[in-house]
Amino acid sequence: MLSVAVKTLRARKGAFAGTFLALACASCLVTASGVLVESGLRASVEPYRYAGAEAVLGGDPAVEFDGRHRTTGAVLSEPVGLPQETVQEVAGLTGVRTAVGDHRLTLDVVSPDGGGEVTPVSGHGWDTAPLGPFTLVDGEAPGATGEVVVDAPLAETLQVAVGDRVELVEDGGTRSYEVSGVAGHGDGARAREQVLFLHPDEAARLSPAPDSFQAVGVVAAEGADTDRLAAELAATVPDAVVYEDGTVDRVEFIDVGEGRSLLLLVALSFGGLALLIALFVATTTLALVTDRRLREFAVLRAIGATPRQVARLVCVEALLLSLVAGVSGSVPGVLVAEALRSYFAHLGAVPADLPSTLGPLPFLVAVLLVVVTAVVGTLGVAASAARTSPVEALRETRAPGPVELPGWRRGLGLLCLVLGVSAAMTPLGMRTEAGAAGTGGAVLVLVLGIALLGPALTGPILGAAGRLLRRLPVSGFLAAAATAADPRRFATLLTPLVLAVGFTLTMVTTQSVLGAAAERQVDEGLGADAVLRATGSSGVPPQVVARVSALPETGAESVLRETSVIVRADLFGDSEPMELRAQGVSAGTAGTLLDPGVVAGDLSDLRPGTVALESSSADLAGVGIGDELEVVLGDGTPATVRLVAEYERGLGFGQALFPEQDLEAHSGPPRRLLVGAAEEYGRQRLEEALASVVADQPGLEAESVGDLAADGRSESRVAAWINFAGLGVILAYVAIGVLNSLVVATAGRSREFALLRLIGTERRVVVRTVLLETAVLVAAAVLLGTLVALVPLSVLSVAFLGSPFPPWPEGLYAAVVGATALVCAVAVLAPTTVMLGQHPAQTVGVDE
Amino acid sequence: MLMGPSGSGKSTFLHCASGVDRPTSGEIWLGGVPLSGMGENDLTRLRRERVGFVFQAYNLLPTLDVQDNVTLPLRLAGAPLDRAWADRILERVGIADRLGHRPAELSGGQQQRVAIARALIGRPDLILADEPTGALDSDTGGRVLGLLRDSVDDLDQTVLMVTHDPVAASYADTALFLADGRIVDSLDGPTAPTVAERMSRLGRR
Repeated sequence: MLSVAVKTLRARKGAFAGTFLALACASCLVTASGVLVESGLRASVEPYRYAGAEAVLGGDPAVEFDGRHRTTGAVLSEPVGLPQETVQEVAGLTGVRTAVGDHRLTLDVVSPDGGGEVTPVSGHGWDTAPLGPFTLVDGEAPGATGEVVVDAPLAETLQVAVGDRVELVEDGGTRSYEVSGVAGHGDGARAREQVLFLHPDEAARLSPAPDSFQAVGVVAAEGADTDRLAAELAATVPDAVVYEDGTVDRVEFIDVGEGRSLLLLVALSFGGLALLIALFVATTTLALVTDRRLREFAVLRAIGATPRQVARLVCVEALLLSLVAGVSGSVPGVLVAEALRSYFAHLGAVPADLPSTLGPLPFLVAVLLVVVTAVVGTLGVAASAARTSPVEALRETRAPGPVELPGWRRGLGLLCLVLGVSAAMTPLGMRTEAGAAGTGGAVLVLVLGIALLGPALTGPILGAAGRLLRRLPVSGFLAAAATAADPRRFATLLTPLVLAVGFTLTMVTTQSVLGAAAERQVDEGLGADAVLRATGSSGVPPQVVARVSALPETGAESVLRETSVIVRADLFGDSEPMELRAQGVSAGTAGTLLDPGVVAGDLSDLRPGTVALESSSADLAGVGIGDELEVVLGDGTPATVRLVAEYERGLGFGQALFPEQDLEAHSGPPRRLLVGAAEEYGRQRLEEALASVVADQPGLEAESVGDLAADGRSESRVAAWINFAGLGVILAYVAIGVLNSLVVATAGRSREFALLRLIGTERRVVVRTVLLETAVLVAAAVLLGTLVALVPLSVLSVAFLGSPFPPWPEGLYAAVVGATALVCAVAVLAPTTVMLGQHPAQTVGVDE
Repeated sequence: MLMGPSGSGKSTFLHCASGVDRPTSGEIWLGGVPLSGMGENDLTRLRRERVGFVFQAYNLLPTLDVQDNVTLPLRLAGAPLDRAWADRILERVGIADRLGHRPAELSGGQQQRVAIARALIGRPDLILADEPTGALDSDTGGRVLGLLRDSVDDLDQTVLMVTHDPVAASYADTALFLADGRIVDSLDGPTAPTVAERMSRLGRR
């Protein structure tokens, strides 16, 4: 049987080329996401400041509930520190030469050329220098709190040398330090950030949490067993995570950790989607190729092949083909992964120097998944091949297969439609970005339903199209007859097209609905007349707040602290940690400067120990007004707060509002200051007054109210662009698949075209006929695709914009329709032209 | 030899005789075995072991060469290849020199001879031939019919052939005439003129 399968594959190279291509591209996509997953898990950059440390301890960013339920599903948004005593505990261990606690400070150095520009630097106590190790190349260590050491790259950026002074932005002003020395890296490691060393006391003074360390670095004694050391460290400080060789970058560089988890997240969702769609496309082409071979199967049955043998032949063919396709497709997958990674780096979502990691696993998984996909996709086809009656071989002409759908397919198809519609309702119960993600899933399930119902759904469409076509001259009549003759082929070709149209519309429109909603919410809810925004890393200092507050033009002011908190939510019957975007505001001003649209409770009750939640998030957390709620703050501190208000403008202002004092010790400095004008002065006077404050204070700028709305969503916009990149790759794949199956389907009609030519049909009539058929196909795809997208999008629009008509992307819609039509026309015309060039008598004579 | 006008039930007879189709009433015995009550797999096995097919449209597998096409039934049955028997058949049908060719590279007559070799390879109890010369010119058709006749005479093969060509019928030992689904007549040692005369009578009925 194997040799027969090999011979069939060899002899039918042309027919199988399409399937091969579809499977190879699927392998390419899966490999690409596999490489991204592996990079997300394992990629690392060379450490710089901790290059000389054998191990580094850091706080555990995983969330703990009830002290037992540890989960990786939610990760704390703020850096988690270690208590100061850790250093002593660790230093006592045998095998430890030095243990140093590091306050990782984000500082801004005022550029010497003035103009309020600041250079962000990473600030540390000079006692951490052995972790590099950093050694002085010039001058000496900081001997007093007023002295600093800069590393060589920073010295170059700032153009400073020993004896010069640098200005650090600090507490509403600047403070001047003398450069006592310039340090070089002992191992000559490549700098990833610019480092400034302070006197250890000064570092502790500047730290927002002076009694804890962000990391504790350990340098091992000469000849110590580092594996044993790591185990001992983990046993000594059970609350900490021990980072060793190859993982140190995760605790050293925050952006590396963020980039890695983003890669992982994107790759998993992209990979899952790619796999599902690959199954669609590969099954389509396999079905088309097999459909053409029914006669061959009938002959096999007539000369004594059992149904089992026929099914096995088909499966062995698929196995061989997918094996070769899987291997050859996986190699270019690396290039796709690399292209996506560098695009993400270009967006700033992933550090540019974070490399892709290449291991054998993604390739093995891709080949395996493609083989499984092909074999699973073939099983249905094999079953129908096996059922082929030998009578088919005895017949002279083969009628297209029956359209009768088996009951299970009808049932499953309807179930998918029902599931899809209910998934589309998610945003009604979850008015957050996470809820909006339900629309994408809904479309996939709806398309799956359409694929299953296939011919039953397309029947009415074909009927209507047929009536229309028959009014046209001969080519219309021929086209109507040809499409009606094989509704199964029509349905098979239709599915990937519906998927492409529906999915593109949904992904893009979901983003514009969310964008419009966020903008509207901020627009309606922001009562502030002016906004100050921190450009550097030190935020809006309290001194600035006090200064603004003292201005006669200021009526009310409130800082805006952004962080995220984690609550327990009831999702699908499971108690799951749910991350909420949270803002801290000055308690008294919440209703006026920032009106989140209260629907229950009273925002004036917002005082320390209370919280206001977006209403659907409150429902998911299972709390009502007056109830107590357990939250885990950004740095892992648990807190119990009382719910005092529920509001509706969650996209614009986050899902939780806290009095800012409650967040102060558990999040970074406030990034914004909202200011309302005093009645007698007005907005103009206020803006002028604020301009003078900004001029005195480096690292601050005035921001328009519109910018605030845009910025509130900038993070999700980056996420959207990342999704679009994935979508683009997948659409390219669907296009290849569609092109493929249309070519395969059209090439299978050589005999039909030759017959038409023989009885005197002109070439251009044949061309016009296939073009009309393609037009019906495209129209049906656009119709169903739009319908499939419209259902979840309307729900989304009702949930977020209050109207069932989502903002329709006319330009994109035209582009989608145009591209679909173009791809289909090319795919149909190319083989038709080739076939029309052959001599019809010869083509008819050849037994297919 | 089975003869009859179009629509008289020739093909249905053939399908039932080979176990491809089931009769609505009555029973079919093939080589001493009743076909009724057999499952699809048993029927397939029976077809494989006891029946050889020759079609009007040849129905060779286009992807396999002559050698593979001829030996395919044995492979499907998992039976060993009797080299001497195979050589004898290939020699007999006169395609021994084309073993490496694909069906598309052969003429119609050659293809049909390959199909006959394929039918003979498993030493079936019965060869069913459905208008085997329908697509061939009279000269080539004559050679194919001669081959079938030889297989009866030299290899003791039973052949049941459906045709409406009186010349083809003249190669048979017995001709049965079908009309409206019933055997209405039979003729031993048929010749082209006698068959033609009976046929025209049937046609007038």
